Formats: sequence, structure tokens, C-alpha cells
Amino acid sequence: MTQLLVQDLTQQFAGLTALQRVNLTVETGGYGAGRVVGLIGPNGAGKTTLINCISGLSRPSAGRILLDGQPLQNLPPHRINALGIARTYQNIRLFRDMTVLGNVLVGQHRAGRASLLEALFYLPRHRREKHAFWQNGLALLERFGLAGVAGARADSLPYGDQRRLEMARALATGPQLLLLDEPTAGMNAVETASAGEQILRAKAAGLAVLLVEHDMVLVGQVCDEVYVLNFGQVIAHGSPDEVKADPRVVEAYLGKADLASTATAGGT
Amino acid sequence: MVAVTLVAGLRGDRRVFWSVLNAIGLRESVVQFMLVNALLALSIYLTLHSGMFSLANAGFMSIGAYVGVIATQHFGLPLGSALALGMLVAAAISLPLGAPVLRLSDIYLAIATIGFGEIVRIFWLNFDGLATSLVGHSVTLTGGALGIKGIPTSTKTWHLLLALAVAGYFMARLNDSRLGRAMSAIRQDEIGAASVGINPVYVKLVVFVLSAMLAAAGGVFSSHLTRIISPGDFSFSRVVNILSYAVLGGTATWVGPIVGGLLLTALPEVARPLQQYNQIFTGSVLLLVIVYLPGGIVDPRLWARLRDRLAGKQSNDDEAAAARQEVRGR
Repeated sequence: MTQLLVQDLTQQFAGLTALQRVNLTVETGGYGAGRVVGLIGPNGAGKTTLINCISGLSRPSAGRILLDGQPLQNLPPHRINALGIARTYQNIRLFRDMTVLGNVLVGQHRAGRASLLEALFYLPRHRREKHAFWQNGLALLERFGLAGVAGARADSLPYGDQRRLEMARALATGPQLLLLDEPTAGMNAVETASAGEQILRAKAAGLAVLLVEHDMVLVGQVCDEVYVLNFGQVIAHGSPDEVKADPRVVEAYLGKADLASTATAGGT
Repeated sequence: MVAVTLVAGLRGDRRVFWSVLNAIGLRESVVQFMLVNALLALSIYLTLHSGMFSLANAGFMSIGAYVGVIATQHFGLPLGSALALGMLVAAAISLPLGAPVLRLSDIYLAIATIGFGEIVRIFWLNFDGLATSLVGHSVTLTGGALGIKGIPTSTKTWHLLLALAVAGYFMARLNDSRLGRAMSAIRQDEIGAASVGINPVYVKLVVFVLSAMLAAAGGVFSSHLTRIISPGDFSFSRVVNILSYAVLGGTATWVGPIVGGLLLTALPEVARPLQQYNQIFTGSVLLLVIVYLPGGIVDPRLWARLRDRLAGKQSNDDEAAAARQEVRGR
């Protein structure tokens, strides 16, 4: 069971309050049941800031972030990853000069135990580890439909494939919680559907997923519950359908509706 | 000619080997400096390959040189022990230096490490005076601005070949190790590397120490070739030279810096017949390489393009160029 608790999280940047007392929970059920929690909101609502706080890229001004009871808010990114949180980025951060396989090999960095000396002299543990990393890496690429381009440079891939590779690389670190920051941005409908399948697959494997997403159809398909952020505050929380029907959410996206005049306009 | 030299070298025919090299101006002493500079180029390659623009190499080279010479001349140690000692001292200094300085990046790291080089240079310059006032009687160890004279030339060519072979093997295996992959990852995207569990601070520090040890090894060897060392030998221009070997050769692979170090050291000697135009020639070569081969001479992408062209294939770059041409034509 994995439990991420965000408690009263506040993030201020020189006079701008990006997050204000945000409370959020991502919790998987018992018996290996995964969970997908959506995080939506208009541009500038603070979604990426929240992901950055959880993954250690920015240090919150106040509040707590707990993973299974352990506070995360003062740990550097690599320690947070070691505790089982992996993420992708809105603007893709692949290792461009490396091969596709190289990227998922780096993802398994932390699983390695062989020292530099063992690698220098090609000792058995290094060989075993390398073999296992390659096997895992190729299996992961297979799952994401990237095995055919394992030897290609990462930056030679089309955009959608780069996004998929970034998700594969995040999974290669063996996380319990996956933070996905707009994984379908710039994707066409077919690519979006396949990204949705991968998210459900991660859920089926028992992972907790926090998904920042603009595509409401996808959110409706994959999310068990949704948080809505606006101007750094949680304005709604519930099932995708509940949230979509919430007048505060509609207002946040479309502006305050002048119901009387709309009704009149509709009537004439 | 290159073939004759290689064949002679492989057959162990040393007379033919050296006579060919001598004919183009490469006496054994020049070859020795070529090998030393290849080692120094590898030391800066390590940091560049990990995305660190560190220019501390001349400083660590001078630490190797002074520690090595003091070890052999004042304490009568053999060259091998002096080498180990020089590398150890450099490692011991690079560790506390790297911990704060490697928080900087890009040009700020360059400036801080240039500062370190100057501090070390001035330290050797004033060492005797400082030691005298501390100990209470006259100390003459580094000889101030005049330096240390009369150092025996105990570095042999085979020492250097062995050292370069060991360093080359190390670099080749590094690419296959977790550390090597983490280095590349940090160079390409430090934040991305941190979020897959790599500790960038730790990896950079390890690489900085390794680079310092390699530079110190170069310093120990070179100080036992030059007969004389003085603080002025390790000024800013030294690290610029080391950097230019890596840039000329290319930093995409570890072969590049070796080639760059060998070539750029040999060039002024080969071009000696040009007399006063010698420096202009060397400078022009460097300039042309930077302008036309920005990835250096040993650039895998360049070679791949050449291979494709020879095989009659059009690479992506060519297609892109053709497309641009077409757009321009319209």
C-alpha cells in the first residue's frame, strides 16, 4: 500500500503564491490495487508546481509532504526517487544523445550494486547486472512499443514516442508512485489512447499515479478521483463526473456564467 | 609514411620507427610531451564529459609536479612512488575543493577553478618564505619564482605509453559502467538525471577527484622530463592549452582528447620548417577545426556522415540540407 499525503502545502515565489494550503491524498487500496488520481485546473493553477514540490525540484514554503508517513519536503530529488517516486516532465527531459535503451538503462541506475572497480575489470557481478538491466530495459521498451528503436538516439524519435520513452524511463526506476505531468500534451488521439492504456497498466500493476492532464476524456477514462486546482487552491475533489458537474470548476475554466442572460439569449 | 611508422612500431623495429618520426621533427622528447599532453587532455575530458566546465587542471598538474619532484629529489623516492603520492595529494585537495565549488556551473565554475589554479601557483611561489616563517629556520624546497632546477629526466617513454594505455582502458570501461552512464546523463540533463535517482553532487565530486588525479599524474611525468619546474609553467595559459587539446580532438569520445593532445603538441614541431610562421600555422589549424569541425576531429557523427556519403547513402543531415537548398531556390 502506498500513501502520499500533501498537507497544507504552500509555495510562494517572491510575492506570488503558487500554492495555498493544498491538501491532497493519493492512496492505493490494499491487495495490490492501484489508483489513478487526476489533477486538473486552468493554466497557471499550480499543477506543475505541486508536482515539482513532491518530486523535490522546488522546496515548499510551508506544509508537509509525506510518503507512507515519511516527510519528503526537505529531500533532494534523487533521494525522493529512491523512496519510490518517479516522474515525467511537461517539457520532455530525455538524455538526448543516448540511445533509447540507454535512457531506460540510466533509469535503473539505483538498482545497480556493482562498483566502478567491478565494472573496470568486468567482474561477474557487473556482467550479471548488465545482463539483467538490458533484459529489463528491453522488456520495458517492448511494453511501450519502442523495442524496435532501442538502438536509435533518443532525440531522433517522434514527439509522441519521446513522451512514451520518458514514462518508460520513469518506470525503470521501480517506483510506487508515478507523477505524470501532462503525458499526452501534443499527442494525437491514437497516441493519447495508448498513453491512457499505459496509465491503466501501471495502475493494474498496483502503482499509485498522480496525473496532471488537460484532456477531460482521458481523465474520465483513467482517473478514480480528481482534484481541481485554481489559483493555487483546491476548489473541488471527487469522481471525474462529480468534478465536471461542479459549478466552481465550470467557473474556473469558463469564467462566471451570467445565468440569467444566457438563459434569455438561449430563449430568443 | 604513417603506415611505415606503424608497421615498424608493431614489429618492434625501434630504429626504423624513430628514424621516420625524427624525419618529420618528432624526436623522442617531443613524443614524450605528446603523450603527457594526451594524459592531461583526458583529465579535462572527464569533467567536460560530465557537463562540468572546470579549469582546475593546471593547478592539479602543478600539485603533481611539485609533490612529485620534492618526493624524488628531497626524499629519494622512486618515480612510481612519487606518482602515487602526487595523485593522492591532488585527490586529497580536490575533495574539499570540489564539495563547495561544484555547486557552481558553467562560466561560474570556470572562474572559480581558474581562481584555484592561481592560488596554487602563488602558493608554490611563496612556499619557501611561508615555510621559513613557520619552521623558524631557512627552508628551500620550491625555489620561489626560479623554481626547482636540475631534475633528472627519469620519465621514460614506456612509462607514458603504459600510463596512457591504463587511462585509455579506464575510459573505455567507464562507458560501460553505472558511473559512466550517470556522467553522460548529468551532462545531458542534470535535473532529469536527479529524478531517476542519480545523485549529481556525488557523481560530479567523484569525477572531479578522478580528473585531478589524472592531471597530477601528467604533472609528475612532465616534471621529470623538463629538468626544471617553476610556478610560471602552470599559469592560466597552461589550462587553455589543455582545453584546446580536448576541443581539437573532440569530447564526444575519450579517443578525441588523446588525438587532440598528440596532434596539437606535434604540430609546432612538424611545422618547424615554417620558422616564424609556425605559431600562425598552429593557430590557423585550431581555428579551422573549430569553425568547420565544431565536434572536433574525432566526432562519431562526422564519421558516420562520411561513411554514409562514401556508401552513397544520403544521411538525414544531407536531406535537411537539400531541403533548405530547395526552399532557398524558390
